[in-house]
Amino acid sequence: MQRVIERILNLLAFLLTVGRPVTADEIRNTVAGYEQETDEAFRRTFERDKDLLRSLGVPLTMSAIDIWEVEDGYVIPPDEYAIDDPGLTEEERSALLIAAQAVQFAGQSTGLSAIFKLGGASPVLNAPNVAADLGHDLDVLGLLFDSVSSRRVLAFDYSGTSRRATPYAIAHRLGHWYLAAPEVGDPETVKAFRVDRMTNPTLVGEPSAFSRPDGFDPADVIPSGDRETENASLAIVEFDNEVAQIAANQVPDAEVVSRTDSTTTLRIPVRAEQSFIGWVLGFDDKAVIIEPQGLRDRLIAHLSVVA
Amino acid sequence: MSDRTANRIARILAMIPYTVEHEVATIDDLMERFGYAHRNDVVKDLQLVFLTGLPGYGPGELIDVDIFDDEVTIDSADYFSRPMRLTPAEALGLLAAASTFLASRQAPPALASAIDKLSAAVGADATDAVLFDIEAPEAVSDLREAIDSNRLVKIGYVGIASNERTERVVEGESVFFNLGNWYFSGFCRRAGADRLFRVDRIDEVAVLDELYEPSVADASSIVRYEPTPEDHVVTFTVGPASRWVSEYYPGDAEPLASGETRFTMRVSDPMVAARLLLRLGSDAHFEEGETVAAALDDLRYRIATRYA
Repeated sequence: MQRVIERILNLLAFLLTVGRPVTADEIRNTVAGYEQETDEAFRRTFERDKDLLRSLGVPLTMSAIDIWEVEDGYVIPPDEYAIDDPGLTEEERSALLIAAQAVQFAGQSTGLSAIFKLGGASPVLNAPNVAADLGHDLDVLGLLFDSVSSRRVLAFDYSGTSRRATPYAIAHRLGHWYLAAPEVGDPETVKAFRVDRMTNPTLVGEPSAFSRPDGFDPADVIPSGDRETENASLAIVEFDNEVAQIAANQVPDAEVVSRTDSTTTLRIPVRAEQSFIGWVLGFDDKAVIIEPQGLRDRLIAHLSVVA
Repeated sequence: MSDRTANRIARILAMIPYTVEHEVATIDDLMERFGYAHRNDVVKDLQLVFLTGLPGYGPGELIDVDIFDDEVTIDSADYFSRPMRLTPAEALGLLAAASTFLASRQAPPALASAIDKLSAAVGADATDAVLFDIEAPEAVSDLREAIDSNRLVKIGYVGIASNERTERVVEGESVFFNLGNWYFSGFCRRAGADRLFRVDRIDEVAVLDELYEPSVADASSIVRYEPTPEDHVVTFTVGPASRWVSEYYPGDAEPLASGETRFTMRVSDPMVAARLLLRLGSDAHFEEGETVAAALDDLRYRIATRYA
């Protein structure tokens, strides 16, 4: 392993300083560690080294070595290689370390490589153990974020159809990850795609292939359950006191209409009728829709369905 | 090539800029900061760096690493003096973790400014396009405080299966977010066992003065249903509009030629399945499962009585 690491550090140092695209042949003849005897052995070693550098986030690209554009060479632009110093304080780095350790993605932590790149941080005593799981594989989310930030078209399968989209934003809301993106050919309609229903996501084409409209706000596109009160009608629901407090907790904009020793009546905005009825039914016989009559009738209809 | 090689290179490429920037670093600091298990591992990696550099590979071209007593200096490595850019997965992962943790009401104050700086460094343009909507209920801060100070907490809790309110004294273990909900876990003295509580079903939190001995076991944040032989089994079909049920609940889904899906689910409490069927209404058709059918009848009767 030691020789591998030396060779890769040498390769990286060379490409960061040479200032022009260089061919594989030149690398083989110049960089220490590529003394393989056969062409085939060199090719295999060099391919593995390139993959490793790219997996670390090194922007290793190809570009023409002369104006005739006959042959391509390898380049690592130093400004794309390095991050602009974010100027984090020691305290801020520690805070990021705690967060990285406390939040997981589908049972995996984000890993410490990002923290290391930012200068590392000393471990903190008494940090809380796992505080959250954001429930999705970070490799896929990273690819989607790449598509959003580099503005490359994303191809994927969704509901049995192959699609191409220009992603504007990635969002986590109500326990789900979403991608806000119009499909290619219909830029006016920004859709919210559930990431867990997306398969085979792949970046296609060049960076900067599209631009996001000014003032675009992902919050307008991503479903928000019943939380928004815009366009909401109002319902009056009577709860047994046993469950009234948690009902109010779950709907922060509920208002108390009246209270008795045994019941509390709340006025609640209803945005999506079906999910509202499902929510009220979740309280079993401890909640009753009083008004409006139409909503009350629709709940009662659920009771008479022939099983 | 192994992940171990990649991780080791990543760590070396992070350690060099840090040491260059600080002019002098101690081995202890490098060890702690970059997560090395032993001092000797730091020294080994530094000795490797010493053997690399630019073509020519003579004294003028090699990176100059000097370890004197406990102090490390690195010279002639200008090209490695700036830290590497984060990959998209690293940037999103760290931003998402930090934003979530900030929302959890458990974060140190420096986290907010760290997020701002990090956002700017990875490209503010990209972070405008990221939304994390994870607001923790107020109760989370009190529960966190109780856990941090090892004090017992009394909660009022409305059970998910029973819909009945009970008061419980709990030795808290952790507060966490999973699958869209906040949870509180701990040893419930009323049940005499570990229990998991959904925070939005807690209607009262009182942190008591009495202390408890915290358990040493690692708290898990994974909310997963573990099937047991005592489970109740129910089979029903759902129309396309309710196909989400088979993705959301554990069980076996079978697509039917009619476009419907036949779903067999296992539940520890038949009432949970009965409530789901009631909610699905005419979009679900019950096929099999006696105990769930009985629970569904009971539930229908009780609710109908309230509407009579």
